Amino acid sequence: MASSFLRPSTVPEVLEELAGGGAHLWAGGTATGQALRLGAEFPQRLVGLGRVAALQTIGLERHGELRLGSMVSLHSLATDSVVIRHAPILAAAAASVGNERIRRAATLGGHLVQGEADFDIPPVLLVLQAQMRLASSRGERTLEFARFLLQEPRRPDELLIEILLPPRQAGTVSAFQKFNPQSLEAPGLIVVAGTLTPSADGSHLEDVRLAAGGAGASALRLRSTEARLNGSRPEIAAIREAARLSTRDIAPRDDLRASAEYRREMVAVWSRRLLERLGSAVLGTTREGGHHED
Amino acid sequence: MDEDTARVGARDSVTGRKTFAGDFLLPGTGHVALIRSPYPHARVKSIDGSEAIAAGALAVVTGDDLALPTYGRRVRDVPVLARGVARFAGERVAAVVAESKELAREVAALVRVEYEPLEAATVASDALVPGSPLVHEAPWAYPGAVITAEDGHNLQSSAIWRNGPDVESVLASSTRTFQASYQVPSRHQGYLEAHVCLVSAEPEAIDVWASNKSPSILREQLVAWLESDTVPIRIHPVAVGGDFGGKGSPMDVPLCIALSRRLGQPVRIEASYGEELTATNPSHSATTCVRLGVDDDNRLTALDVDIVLDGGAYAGFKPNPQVQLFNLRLAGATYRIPALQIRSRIAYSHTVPRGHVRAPGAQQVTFAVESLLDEVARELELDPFEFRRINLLHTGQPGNLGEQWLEMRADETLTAAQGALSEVNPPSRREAGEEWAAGAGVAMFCQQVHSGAAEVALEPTTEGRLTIWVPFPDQGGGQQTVAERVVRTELGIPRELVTVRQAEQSELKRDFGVGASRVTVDASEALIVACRELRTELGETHTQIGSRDGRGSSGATDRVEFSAREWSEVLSALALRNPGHWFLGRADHRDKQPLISVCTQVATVLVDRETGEVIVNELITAADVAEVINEAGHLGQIEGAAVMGLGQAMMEDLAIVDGLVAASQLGKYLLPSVRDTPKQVVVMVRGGKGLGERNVKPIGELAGVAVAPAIGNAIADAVGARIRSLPLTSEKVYFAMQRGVSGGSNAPPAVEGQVPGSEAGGDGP
Amino acid sequence: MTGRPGTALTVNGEDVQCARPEGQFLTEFLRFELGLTGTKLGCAVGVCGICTVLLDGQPMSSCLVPMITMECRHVWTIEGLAALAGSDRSTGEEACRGLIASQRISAVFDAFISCDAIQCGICTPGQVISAIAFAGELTDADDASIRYRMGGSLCRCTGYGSILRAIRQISENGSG
Repeated sequence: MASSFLRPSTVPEVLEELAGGGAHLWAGGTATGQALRLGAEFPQRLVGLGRVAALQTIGLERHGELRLGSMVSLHSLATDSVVIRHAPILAAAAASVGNERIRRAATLGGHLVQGEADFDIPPVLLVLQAQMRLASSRGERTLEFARFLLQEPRRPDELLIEILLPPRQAGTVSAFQKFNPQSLEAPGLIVVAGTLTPSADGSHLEDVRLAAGGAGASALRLRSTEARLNGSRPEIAAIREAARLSTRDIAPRDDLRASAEYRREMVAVWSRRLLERLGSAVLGTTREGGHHED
Repeated sequence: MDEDTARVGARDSVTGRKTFAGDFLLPGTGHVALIRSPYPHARVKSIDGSEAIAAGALAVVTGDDLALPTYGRRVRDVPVLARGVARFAGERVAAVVAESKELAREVAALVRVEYEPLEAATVASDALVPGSPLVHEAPWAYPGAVITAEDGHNLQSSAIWRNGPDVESVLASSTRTFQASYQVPSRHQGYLEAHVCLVSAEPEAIDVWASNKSPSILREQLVAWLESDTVPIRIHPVAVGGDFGGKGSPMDVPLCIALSRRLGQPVRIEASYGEELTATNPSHSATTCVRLGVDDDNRLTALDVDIVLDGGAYAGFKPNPQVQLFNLRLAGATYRIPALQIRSRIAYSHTVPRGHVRAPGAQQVTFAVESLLDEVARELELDPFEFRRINLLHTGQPGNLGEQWLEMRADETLTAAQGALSEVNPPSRREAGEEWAAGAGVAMFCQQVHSGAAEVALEPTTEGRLTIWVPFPDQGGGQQTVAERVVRTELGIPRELVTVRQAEQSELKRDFGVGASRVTVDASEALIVACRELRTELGETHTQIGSRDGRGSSGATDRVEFSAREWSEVLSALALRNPGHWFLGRADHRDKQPLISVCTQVATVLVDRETGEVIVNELITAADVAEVINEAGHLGQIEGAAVMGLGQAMMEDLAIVDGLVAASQLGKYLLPSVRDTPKQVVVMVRGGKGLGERNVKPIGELAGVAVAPAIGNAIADAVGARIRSLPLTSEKVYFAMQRGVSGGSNAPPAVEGQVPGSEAGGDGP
Repeated sequence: MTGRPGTALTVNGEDVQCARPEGQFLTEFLRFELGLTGTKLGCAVGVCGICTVLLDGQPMSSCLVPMITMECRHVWTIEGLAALAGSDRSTGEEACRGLIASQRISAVFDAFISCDAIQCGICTPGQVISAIAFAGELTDADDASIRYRMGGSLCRCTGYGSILRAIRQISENGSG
């Protein structure tokens, strides 16, 4: 079972390895390391991404777009001052993953291509409307994270280059909540993330986004709640009303840790709480267009 | 920093020099990967190891290849490797030996095993019903079996403990009666060192390094299995990386011996943690039906406990002669109950075999009894502390099974815990948030001190030092530290001259294992005897060296005070005069008046009314202690046990479904992390009467048992939801609140009024 | 990619070679090939922390790291850190990015001993390394952040009380 470990230092070199087929990418190595430990066969060719400097940067564009290299560690996301300022819920979600060792090794890209239903970051990227930039020797493509997650995942010859977060809108408030009541070291039973944006005159809500993890086969948007709130007045009563619709879009499953029924109820509770919190923030800050970090 | 008070071997522990069984390798060691059955019950039709051999395996060995007898701690029903039939998912079916661990794992995947899955009995209550699939054709035929062919279907053992008037008639005449049923799932001991053993079996001796807490018992078990005592078995001293009751069986050592003999080379078997969780000896899951009677004065009249325990596929992991869990007898023992009946049946099932977990049996029965007591108190509109107080057993009163306890300090610990609770300020509604409801709960547990016997030795060395030889490994309980503390105190000898070492088991024979915290009691007494022996010798010799104060010429009872330099000279002189001499000390407490120690546990919680989330704010542990030899170690034992209790209360569950352990990795099986622990308040209720000259009581098994019912009772106090099954998950609390009644898995609400006896049967030997 | 001679890395500041890296993990390499048995094997899924080492200066579960990925990487184990604690060296810039001074390492060892943050000892080296890894940030660390940083280091024996006391002691002794 001779297997090789290649460590290219540029993106084109990685793409060349991938083009040949049969190469397995090694990012932080935590998920692959676990799989190998539990008996998965060693791939013949592992391509380590640790030396590709281009994948490790966090960059803020002039107009406020945040570019996150796929090899940025979760620890960096959680502690980087730019991320904390411009995407606080992403920092919070990254900080809530696993433990210290896992966060330091695991990467944003690795976390996203695993696609586990209860991972913490996907709901956040859904509400932040992240874009994924992937490259292969055939060319590049950039697509919405939602599309990447549900319809067009990474192809075997592709490398996830970076994750792009659009500029934060003035007045937008955001929140992230992980619910892991049995142990704080356990994965979340459910995770919810959301953003609220008041209209310029503060009279109504625009572009409401709400997403949940652990509520289906993958992270998903809670569209019914969003639709009810868009255009409504920023009032707690309206928010509560809309939150009741949050379970319409989910398809939770039974597993070792919780029943589908309980997860459904918890999505409803935590959606309401999250929106209430955001609603209070909006009501308190509409005049100044302030930003609530959660 | 004060290294003088540090535990024995502390520096070795922090620097990684402390050596465990897994840290040893011998030249030419073969590494083993085990092929385990994926089915709860299956006929093993064929095993083909030819591909594995071709790929480099040194051997692929089956049960039929070895054709060896079964083994066990008491009942010898455990096959070294399955022969013809696999009785649980995880059972060893074949062993693959290779030059490296990696190669063994790799080529094990090439072994072809053909199974014929069979119908399985995977739940104890079903397994006991005649007509269910048999786990063993003739379980009574195994050596050590306590049942007969006439006994029940799939029965490992049954027991009944009763005293006083007939429980049925007392219940019938009681003012009020209550009953409910409680479930406790199987939990793993959770030590972080998985079982590992290394064996070199030569014609002239068998050398064993194994993660085992009781070397001399292991040796006896192996002699019984080998049916021969002609080849010396040397169990080498190693530290044990956590035990909690789980490391008292031979586990993989017999297989390791067989493989080493067969291959003529040392062999090592290291369980993965997944194998630990799915295929070793976790706790007995239990369903307990409890009935209580109360009179006009709110005094308990009768307690009936009917418990069915799942023993899994083999009974061989239980050590006691009755193949029972003895702590079951202590159901309700802190209270005065005129009519008592405790019935226990342990079933064979097609699930992982069950063994001992810290205070075996106590967890299961205490959760049931202490929860129902709380339900009754609420029903009677009595404060749970007061209801308990008016029913407590006091010193001088006979125990419910007629025991003549030396003392019973139930009231003292209850009062201490209540006092500590009164000093805790519950968070205000405003601080906690509207959705949080606060509550407090109490539960009690008492444990009989199972005294044993111990042999220790003191050896002066020519270098002028003193070696304390003890027969037990250091498994974390601090027993070696206690030994050192006792000798230093007894002799007044400076620490730098003292070394504690584990003797090879052949040298000190009377080791009864470190279980049930009995070591502190027995070994400290034995050490005092050995110190006295040494002093007697000093009395004869010290005049040649010169004592500091000129006293002590008349022998052992006088204190001889030496400086460090003088001690060194004295010890060296002793060693030179009588090289290799051991001053032996023995203690035997087995015929002493039974001792009991009591613990009252209080938990304060916040419960989220909308989600069922439970936050344990404080755990107050009031523990009955006599003299404490090692304060820090003692505190650590209490804190550790309480947090283990927290884990068992809130998150631990192997989740055995259809015979398969679903929590098959750590992370799926949750252990409490430092982020999950509440504020702990430990109240040592001093002044108890202990055993021996040092007047000590054991502690390790005492403090964790009542945590789960205390938290369950606190949840009920906060939101009225009664959860009758562990763990106390937020989901159970949520749905119990939603339904506005008691929760738990299919548990009916506590029934009040006269109830017919729960299904009888199992009135065993 | 045939004919690889093996994997070259440094362990505790010294160059070492892993002749047969295929299929092997760092934990077993350290324990069996180098005899550095202070690194323990626990859950093998990165949860328990008893196999923790410093890998390029950061705490990592050695159980998850295949040896084929270890070329040119730098490992410090508990044995190496213990040796440093008694010396006046820092852990070396290239190995540990100069983050940890030896007196900080000593303070962690000493605090674990004096607070009796030890029972069976199987998790202790991992706990110590986890604490060393953030010893530089410990001054006046609050309880919640200590718990957060140590959350991935499980201990079944102590209930964590003594471990928290040890780390608070290091924290309070601050700049030492």
